Amino acid sequence: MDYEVSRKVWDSQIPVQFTLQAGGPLGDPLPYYTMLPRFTYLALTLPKVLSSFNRRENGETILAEKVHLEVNGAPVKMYIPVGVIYDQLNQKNLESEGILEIHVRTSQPAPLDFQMVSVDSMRAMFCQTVKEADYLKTKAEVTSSLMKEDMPQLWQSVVNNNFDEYWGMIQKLMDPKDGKDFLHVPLRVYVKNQPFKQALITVKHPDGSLRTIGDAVSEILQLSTSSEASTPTSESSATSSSEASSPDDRRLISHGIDVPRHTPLIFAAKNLSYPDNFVHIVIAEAR
Amino acid sequence: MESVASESAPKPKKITVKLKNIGDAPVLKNKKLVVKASDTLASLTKVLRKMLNLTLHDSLFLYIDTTFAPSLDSTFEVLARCYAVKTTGDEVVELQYSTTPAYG
Amino acid sequence: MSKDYRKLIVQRLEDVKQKNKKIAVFYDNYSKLSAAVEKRHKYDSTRSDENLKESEEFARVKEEMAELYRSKCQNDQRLINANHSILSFEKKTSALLAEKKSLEEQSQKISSKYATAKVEIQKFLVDNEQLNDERIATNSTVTALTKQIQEMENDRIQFLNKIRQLNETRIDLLNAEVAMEERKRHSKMQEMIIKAVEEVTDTDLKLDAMLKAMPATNSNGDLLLGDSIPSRAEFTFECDEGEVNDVRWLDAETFATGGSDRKIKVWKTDGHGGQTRIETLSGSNASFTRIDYERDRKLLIASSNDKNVLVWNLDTSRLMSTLSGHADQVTCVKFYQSHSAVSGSADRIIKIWDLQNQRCSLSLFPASKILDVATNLGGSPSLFASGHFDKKLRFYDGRSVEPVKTVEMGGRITSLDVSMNGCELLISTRDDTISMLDLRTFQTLHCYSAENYRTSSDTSRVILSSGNEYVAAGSSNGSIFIWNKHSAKLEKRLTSSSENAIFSLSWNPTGYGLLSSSKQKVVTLWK
Repeated sequence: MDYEVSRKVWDSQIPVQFTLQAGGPLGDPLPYYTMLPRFTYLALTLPKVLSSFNRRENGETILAEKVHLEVNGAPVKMYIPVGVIYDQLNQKNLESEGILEIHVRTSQPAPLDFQMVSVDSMRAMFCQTVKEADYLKTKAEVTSSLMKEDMPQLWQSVVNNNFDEYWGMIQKLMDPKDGKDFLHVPLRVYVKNQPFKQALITVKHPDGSLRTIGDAVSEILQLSTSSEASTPTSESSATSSSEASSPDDRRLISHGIDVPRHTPLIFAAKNLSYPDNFVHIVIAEAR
Repeated sequence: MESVASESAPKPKKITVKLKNIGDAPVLKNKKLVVKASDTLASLTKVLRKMLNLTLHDSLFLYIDTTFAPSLDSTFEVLARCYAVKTTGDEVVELQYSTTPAYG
Repeated sequence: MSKDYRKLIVQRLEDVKQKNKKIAVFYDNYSKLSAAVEKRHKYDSTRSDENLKESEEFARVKEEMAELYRSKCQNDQRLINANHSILSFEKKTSALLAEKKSLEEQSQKISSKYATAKVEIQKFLVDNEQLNDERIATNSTVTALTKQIQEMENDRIQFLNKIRQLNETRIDLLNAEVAMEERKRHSKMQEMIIKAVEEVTDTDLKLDAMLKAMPATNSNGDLLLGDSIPSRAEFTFECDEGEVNDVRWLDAETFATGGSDRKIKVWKTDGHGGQTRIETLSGSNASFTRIDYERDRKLLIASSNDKNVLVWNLDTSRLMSTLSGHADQVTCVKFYQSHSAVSGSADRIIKIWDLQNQRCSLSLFPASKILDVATNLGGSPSLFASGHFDKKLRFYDGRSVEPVKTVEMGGRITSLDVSMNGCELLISTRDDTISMLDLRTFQTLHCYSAENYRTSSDTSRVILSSGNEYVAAGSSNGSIFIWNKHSAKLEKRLTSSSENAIFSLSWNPTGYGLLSSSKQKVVTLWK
């Protein structure tokens, strides 16, 4: 693992603006601005945001169960890392440049697509995701051999933003003691307005040369388009139109940067993955 | 707009899902389901809740290979590609379900 | 290409970070502003609340303030204490520093001293070495020089021997010359005698008869006519350059004088108030003090201020020997026994000389200046007397170094004379008195004195007449006093024309004629 890159990835933050649209006698409070680490989750941030809004005098106390979050008028998935949310939206033109604007709404009922995630269930989902990643990497050998306390510790490092704690844990997961290569790389590719794409991607090409992240992304997208292509539809042409552009024009965004296409996949897996052990790549149009 | 279009696609790819109960979870009469590839696990959860007559307060956990619970917005296309059990040429996604948390 | 992806990633992550930093600053400012706005809101709302709540709050705040003040006071006290201790520590530190500094200075001084001392020691060592070398060199030189000295000493002894030999040969040659002249004269005389014999007359026969009518001769063969008191000056002449320290009849017609002219002169009286010099004896570098004469062997001895004693043979006019050994002026000398002489000196030593071997046979240390000696005392021939500056008269037997008898007199003893029988000693002392001492009893027999008699000097002489009938002495005013020896009565006072002090007197062996010598060259014969 590369300490410098991991540290920089860990330290990278995004500006976030929370606005409360609750109505009420005093009108909406001033927005809440904060810098959030990319690895954190909205599920973890929401209580702090709400308590900030609730400090307001004479306002109704806003309960977490009663709100839903929207970005750009669409519900937000609270269980994916905020960095990924940011990267997904940033490729569109955000309302305020570079700022993730999240609307906290109290209107009932909540949209069906929205799922409120508590801190507890977030912890469970996080652990499951780490397990899934490990299942891809080692058939869950590492996670099953981990101590009972290890997984909560990894989660606590995320909650407390404690890199040193994280570094100790993540090394166990990324650099297994037996030194075996990963079977597959936990990689999720986000194309706009589509569910994430994922496939069994090995570290190396069949000829033994290292697979680059560009190769891996292209292959995943290829698999998707081929499955789509078997059922040609009106909208598939629309998607294909976006993907018809030369694969080399696609920008691979992660952690707010263009990841060089020739980055070896294994390097990305070890150093560019989020704490949930997945590498989240957002596909953006070429500028 | 596009997502709406994709959901209403006329002939989407179908994927067979095999369900198995663990722990105290009730046994399903119909253990095999066929879902669209573009469906997410979240939509299956809703269907399953209805099938198992679970209330809003009951929990439902789905596991793959008795190891991990996949992300709820994973599509079956992804699940099939990554975790499908290939038996008789057809891809089957085997899921375990439980009403109590299992496998950490 | 291979690794630049990492560089790119790091670079891009950094870029994003920088971009976000600006926003973060903005966010921070915003949160502060919003907090302020909120506070304002809160304040506005609280104002509308009841006063009670406010006052309660106020009281609480006051209490808190009081508490804070109390703790502040305590903290202040602690601060003061701490400051005090800091000050004291600083003082201590500065004292220690000063001490350290002084110690360092001291150590520096000591070390510099030590360095200089070291250098000095080094220098000393070098010097020492040099000195040692020099010493060794000097030692060797000294040894060489000692050897040289020894050689030179040997040479000197050789030379001295040679000189003595040469002296002897010179003396021999001189004597031979004298002898030759004597022979010439003798032959001349013989010629004259032969001539005279040829012209023998009856005057000779008359002379023979006169000679037959002559009275008895004295022991020396001189005619003793009986002592006569002189009454007039037969002649007066100036003989010396300065003082005439001594005058002495050698026989009835010749006498010797010695004084500051560093010569002994021998004169002959012509019997008609005249005198001729027949001999001049030299050899001294200073004035003569006393003269003695031995008729049998015709030896004349004289003491000199050049610390020597000189002996001549008057037969041959030959200087026999120079006796040296005294450390100061020799004041007196007398023949002593046979072939010996006794001399006394201002160096407080009496020396007995062996004249045959020309060496000192005995030295006596009476611890006082000797002014005169007297020999030929009765009783033992070896006995002699010495008169001293410390008023004491000492008698020696010539063997023991201690005096056999000491007689204390009334003043410094200037002169001694012995009677013919050797039993009486005439003593002149500086208290203007002349005493006669019986040597058998050491009792004073007579005292001679006169109203105007003053002892002229420390060595002024007093004599007995040849027949031992009178005592004569010269006074400082130039007069000569003559007493009757037995009655001590003043018989005569001779007054000279000059008033120079009389130093010495000599009574003619025939008893007729008294010689006096004075301070001013003058010798007078009184008859």
